[in-house]
This record gives sequence, structure tokens and C-alpha cells, in this order.
Amino acid sequence: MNMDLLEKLCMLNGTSGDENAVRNTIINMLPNDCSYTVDAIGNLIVDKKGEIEPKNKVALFAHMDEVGFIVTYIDDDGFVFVNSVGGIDDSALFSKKITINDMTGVAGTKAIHQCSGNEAKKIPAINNVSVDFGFENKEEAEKYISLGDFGYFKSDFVEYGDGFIKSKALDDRVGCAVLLELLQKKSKINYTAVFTVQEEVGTRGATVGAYNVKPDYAIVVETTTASDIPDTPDRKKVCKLGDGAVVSFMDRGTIYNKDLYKKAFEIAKENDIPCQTKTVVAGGNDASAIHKSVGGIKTIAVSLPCRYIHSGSSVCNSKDIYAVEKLTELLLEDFANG
Amino acid sequence: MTTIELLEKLTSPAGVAGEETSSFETLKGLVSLYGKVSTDVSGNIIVQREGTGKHILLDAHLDTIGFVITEIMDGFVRLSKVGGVDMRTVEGMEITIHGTEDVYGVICTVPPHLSDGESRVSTDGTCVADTGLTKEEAEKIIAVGDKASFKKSFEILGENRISATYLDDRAGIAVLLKALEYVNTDKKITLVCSAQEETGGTGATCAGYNIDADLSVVVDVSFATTPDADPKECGKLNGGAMIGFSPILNRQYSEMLVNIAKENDLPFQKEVMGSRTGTNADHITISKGGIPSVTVSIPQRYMHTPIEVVDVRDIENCAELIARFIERV
Repeated sequence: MNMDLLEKLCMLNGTSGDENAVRNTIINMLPNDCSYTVDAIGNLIVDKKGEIEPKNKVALFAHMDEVGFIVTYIDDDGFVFVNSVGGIDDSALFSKKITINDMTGVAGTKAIHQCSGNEAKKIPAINNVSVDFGFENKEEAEKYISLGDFGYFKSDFVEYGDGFIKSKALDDRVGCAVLLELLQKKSKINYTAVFTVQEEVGTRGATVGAYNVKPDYAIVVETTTASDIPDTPDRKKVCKLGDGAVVSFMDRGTIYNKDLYKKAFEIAKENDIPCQTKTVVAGGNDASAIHKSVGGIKTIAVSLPCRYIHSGSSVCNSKDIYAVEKLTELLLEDFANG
Repeated sequence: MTTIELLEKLTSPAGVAGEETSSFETLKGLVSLYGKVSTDVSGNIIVQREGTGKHILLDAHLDTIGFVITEIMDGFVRLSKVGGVDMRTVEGMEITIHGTEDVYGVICTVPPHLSDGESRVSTDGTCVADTGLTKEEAEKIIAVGDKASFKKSFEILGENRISATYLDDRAGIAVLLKALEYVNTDKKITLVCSAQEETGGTGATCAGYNIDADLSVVVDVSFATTPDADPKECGKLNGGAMIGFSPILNRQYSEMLVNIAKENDLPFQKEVMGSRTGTNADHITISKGGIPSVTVSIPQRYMHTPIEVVDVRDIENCAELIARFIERV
């Protein structure tokens, strides 16, 4: 994985319903042997021209949207209030920085010293936190910010420790970067890559995208939650950074096709690609919409383990990205020729 | 130097309580422009201006809240808070661990599926941070007892506000340096950038003893309004200096500050406290045979978080008020 590409994609702002910047950037990086359409909901559907038309039509899916915020209220003193777009834990906003219309604001409440006993024990809820952009009053705030504007974590891309990365939007710009790197390579076979919208608000883009593309097989390239942190019992860690690509048998949205699940581990083993499963039935992704679309599509998800997902401080390991990329490429070939 | 530039310089080094010497090297050049610089056993930075008549002690604290490393693990370190860190803020917080070199870390967030919806705010002041280093690699650079600070941040919000790490109480040091710039006096002045305020006022206690002062002015930050705060407990941002009134402070000097503010058309607000002030004035007032003191506080939002906010106009107004006070007292 080219880290500059990943950084570039992560630093773009694109929450559900606001994916333009991500879509345009990807379009501009497509090689000449790709053609694309943008469907009615906003999915970017890319057809890759290879040397041959394979037996099966395979589509790769990654979502362009990230979790973010939307402005719901501005008070008389110019404080801005937001709701989350997608599932965001209260800890990810409180005392952190966000941007709206490229301006930086800080999200706070009264000081801990002024909190009652119970208040001091609970992280303030997103809709009770005010965002301070330095406005003197409502009138000034409204010159720059309107209700309905989108907000984003202000968090830079940091490489640290032994191959670790901290950034916003790793979910799922990692998937977008993997698809884009595959598209930029020469291919033996024709296939389709679908960059979906609105995953974070209920896999709405994938619902439409799977219908429009009608593949025989779908591979969803995603991130998934890893809780491999100290003081967590091993059985609750879900998956671990550094242990490779994650292929799950079941999550909250999908029971994955058993043959494909087995195949993934066989191929990983044959090719020495580190691969693990999820030890907790948790999370969900575009597969939940795709696997039951157009009469049923054989679907698998290849995911990158990611700590502190859905926050500005999401953490992954670059070694796992390599595993995700390699396994996706091999599964694509296998399913196409299958 | 503009006030914003001064604040940016003063907030550039960390300096977790007990570790103020690291800030000293960076700030030495800056503060030596204002007088003769020395240090003492507790870690205070002392800036002296010779003079005659009353000897005035100016105090703002140098140290910041932060963390200390208590355990090194594979990929992680365990931390314990130093000073009153708001533990509700720590999840996802970026930190700098001050080992033999600076190490990046991010404090772990407990995923929602593991917290069972119950409160998960640390009640014992400890947390765990991700370093991405194996235990063996980490131990080459980090030792138990090393400090960690909030990762430095400096943002200008709108025209006049700053959101930055360590504003508590580098903003106070900015006020006092500005006051030294504005003041026209022959009086003897000692500025103490004091150590370990956040852990109980060790620096101020030592300075009160070491420095033979006739009176002191203590500058710290205090609470400014946010939508959820009780306005009775807050000052207003850009409302000017918060002049302290408390049983432990010298009422005559508090009144003098109010009169000077009025005469000079400087905005001010009274900060009334029923007992001790929660600042270094609590220690200095009972040093030696007693040192009469006043507090001038800077209204600040989000105290003890990495996003503390002050208004530069308040800094300038506090500085001018203190300069005029020194001239008159």
C-alpha cells in the first residue's frame, strides 16, 4: 500500500451524503483501462477492462463515506451543536477538534471542576456538547455555518511505532485505497469495483449498487473493530492488529457464505497471507445489503482490523493492509474463474 | 511580539508537574528578556527586576497537568494522571511520552460492545495508551516514572481566541510578561513561573519562603461560560480580568484593582470565592509571616482538557490592569 495514497484519501472529508470529494478524487486517479458511471444514489461504479471476460462476474465493494457530524442548532452566543452521522461514541467528540466548512472548532462543556458527582462520571453526550469556533454571537456564526452543514474529525495522519497508523476515516478509505491500487494494476480479467455511498447510515448505497451491478460474487473490502487492548479478555478482543486480514463467518448483518469463508482461509494459507476470523459476532458492513440483493449474491468481506474505529483516532497496522490487499486480489481471480 | 505569538511560544513546550525543567530550556531565552533568570530547588523559574520600595511577587504557574508512566507493556503503556486531568476526555487523546526521546501515543478507547453501556470513565485516574512498540523496544526509550503530556495543539479560533494545550497556566505567564512590558516603575519585582501548582502548590510554597516579598499578585485561569454552565459560577470570555474577592485575599488590594480598572476603562469582573481560591495565592498568603495577595484570573473555557480556550483581549486587559496596579501600590 502506498501510504501517500492512503493519507490523501483519509484526509478528504466525506461523510454519508457528502461523498463528492472522495468520489472525484478516485475518478481522477482511475487508469485508462477503466470506465465508470455514477448511479442515482451516488455510487461510483468502475468497470476494469482486463484481457478476458471471466466465467463469473465479480464486484469489489468499498464505501467512500466516513462517520461525521451534522449541524443541528446554533445558540445566541454562537455555539454550534451537532448530531452524529453514523455511529459515533460520545468519547470521540468531547474535548476533540472538528472542522466545519474548513474552520476549526473545539467541542466542550463546562469544566470538570463544575460537574456534580454523576456528571463527572459520564462522558457528555454528543448532542449536549457545544462546538466553539470563536464566534462572538449567533449572527456571526450564521455567516459561516448553516444548519445541515457537515462536520469532520480534525485529526491528522500519523505513522508511529512498528507500522502503526492513526487517522480519521480509515473506515473505509483503506478499502477505497485497496480497490484503487488494484484498479491501477493491469488485470487478466474484467471485473467491477463499486465505491459506495451511505454505508454508515444503513448500507443504502450498497443496496442500490448491488442491484445496478448484479455480480455473481461480491467481495467487500472493509475495516472492522479490534479490541486487542490491555485489560480486555482474549475472547472479547474480536480480532488483533498485526494478525492479518479478517474474514468473518457472521456479523450483525450477514451470515457469510460458508464455501467462500473456507476458500478464503485456504487461499490465505496457500499463499502465506496472515488471516484471522472475528471471535465476536459484532459489527456489519455493505455485505448485509449485497448478499440478499437481486435474488442473492455470494458475498464475502475481507477486513482490516482497526482499533478505536469511528473516531478521529482510529488505529490500524500497515502489515495488515498488505494482507487485505493480497487476499482480495487472489479471491477476485479465484471467484472470477471459479 | 503579538500576544498570539507570545502565547504560541509559551505553549510550545510541555512541562508536566515535576518535569518543568524541560520547559525551562525552551523558555529561558524568552523570559530572560524580562529580567535576571534563576531557578530553585522546587523547579521554579524566577525572573528578577531590581528596584527600590515595595517588593512585588508575581506568580503564574509553569507546570501543566498530564500523566506519569506506571507500566510498560507490549504495544502499550499504563498511565496515571498527574494533577486534575478530566478523565472523561482521555479516550482517543493523543499524547507525547517524554522518554529519552519523545514517543507518540494514543489513549485507548474501550469499544462500546465491551462497556455494557455503563459509565466507563476511569475513577482511579489511570488509563492505557497505544504506543505501537513492543515492550523491548519501548523499554529502550521509556521508563516507569517518565511523564506524558497532551500532544501539543495550537489553534486560532476566529479573530481573538486561542484554543491550545497548556494554556493553564501559560496564559498567566503571558499576562505577567506583558505586564512587565507595560509597567513603568522602579519597584523591585520578582516573577515566579512556579512549579507543581497542579499537584498542590509546591513551587509557590517554596517561592513564598525564598522571596522576601511585601505582596503578591497571582494570575491563573478561571471558568468562563459555556451553554451548560451556571452563569453564577463563571466569568465571561472577553469580559476582562476576573478580580478575586475572597476571605484569604487582601480586600484593600482587591478594591484597588477594581478602582484602577474603572479609572482606566478596563473591562473587569469580580470573581467572588467563599474560601480558598484554588490558586497559588492559597500558599503564598501564608508564607513566612504572611504575604498579602490578590488574584487576577483569566476567563477560560474547557479547563483541564486539551482544548482550553482564552481570548487574547482578556490577556492584554489583565496585563494592563496589573501594570497599573504595580505602579500604584
